[in-house]
Amino acid sequence: MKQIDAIELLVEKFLDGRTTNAEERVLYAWFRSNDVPEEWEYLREMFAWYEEGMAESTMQITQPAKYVSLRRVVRWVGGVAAAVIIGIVAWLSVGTSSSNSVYYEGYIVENGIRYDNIEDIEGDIEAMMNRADQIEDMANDLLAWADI
Amino acid sequence: MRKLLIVALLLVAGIAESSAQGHIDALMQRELHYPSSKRDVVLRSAVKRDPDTGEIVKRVTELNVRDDKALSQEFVSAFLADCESADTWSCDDKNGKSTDYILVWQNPKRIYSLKRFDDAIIVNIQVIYSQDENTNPKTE
Repeated sequence: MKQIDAIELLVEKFLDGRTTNAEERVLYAWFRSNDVPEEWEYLREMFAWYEEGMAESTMQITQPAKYVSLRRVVRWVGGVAAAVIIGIVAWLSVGTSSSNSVYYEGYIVENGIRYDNIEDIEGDIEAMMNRADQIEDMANDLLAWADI
Repeated sequence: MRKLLIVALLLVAGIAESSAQGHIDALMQRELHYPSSKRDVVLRSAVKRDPDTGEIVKRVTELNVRDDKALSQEFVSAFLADCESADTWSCDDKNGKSTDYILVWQNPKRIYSLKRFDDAIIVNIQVIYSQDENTNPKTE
């Protein structure tokens, strides 16, 4: 493994709060004395700050949020994408079942004008179906009373 | 001659039976196919399907007539004419102010109802193809 790969792993470990004191000293020393890639310049400043404050400070160090490894980004994006896909599938399945509306072939004719956009008339049709269900209940009562 | 007469009578009876709801259906078909913009009439029609199987549970047609005394009376007369052939029926007349009719035929199951308020009526016709879980069939 190249040294820079090992350092990258240590940086990730540091940001996760899992490094030992010895590992952190390795990071401080490396960033202090080596030519770091341009995109890691801010890490040099960060570790320098930590190194200066380590001996005296007892404050809990909060992990800087600025550096995020590509691997973590990929993992995060993948997780979000999976959640979005699951959400879409769940929404579509609910949407599908409700779009197989029980009032599929419906229309209304009012004063000679026909309305058959189910989205516009759904409420009206549903009210009619509710009335029909109540009437059917009454009819069933009649049939039961007549013993048919 | 006597045999011919009996056959003729049976034929007439058969025709009469086959058009059990004939009067009501004829009026409804007329309103379906010749809706008038001059009348204050609303016609609704829809099919209820089982969401799981897609099969038709019932077909409902409803006619709402307002301020048309002649048409309202036509439907009342049709209901009275057809109720004799119904498997069961009920009529609830509330002191002449409103009237409710329900006529039911089995095999296939058809339910015809009429609600009358003065000169306004609501006619509801439904053909039941299968019992769905939303209705409550009465059992003893």
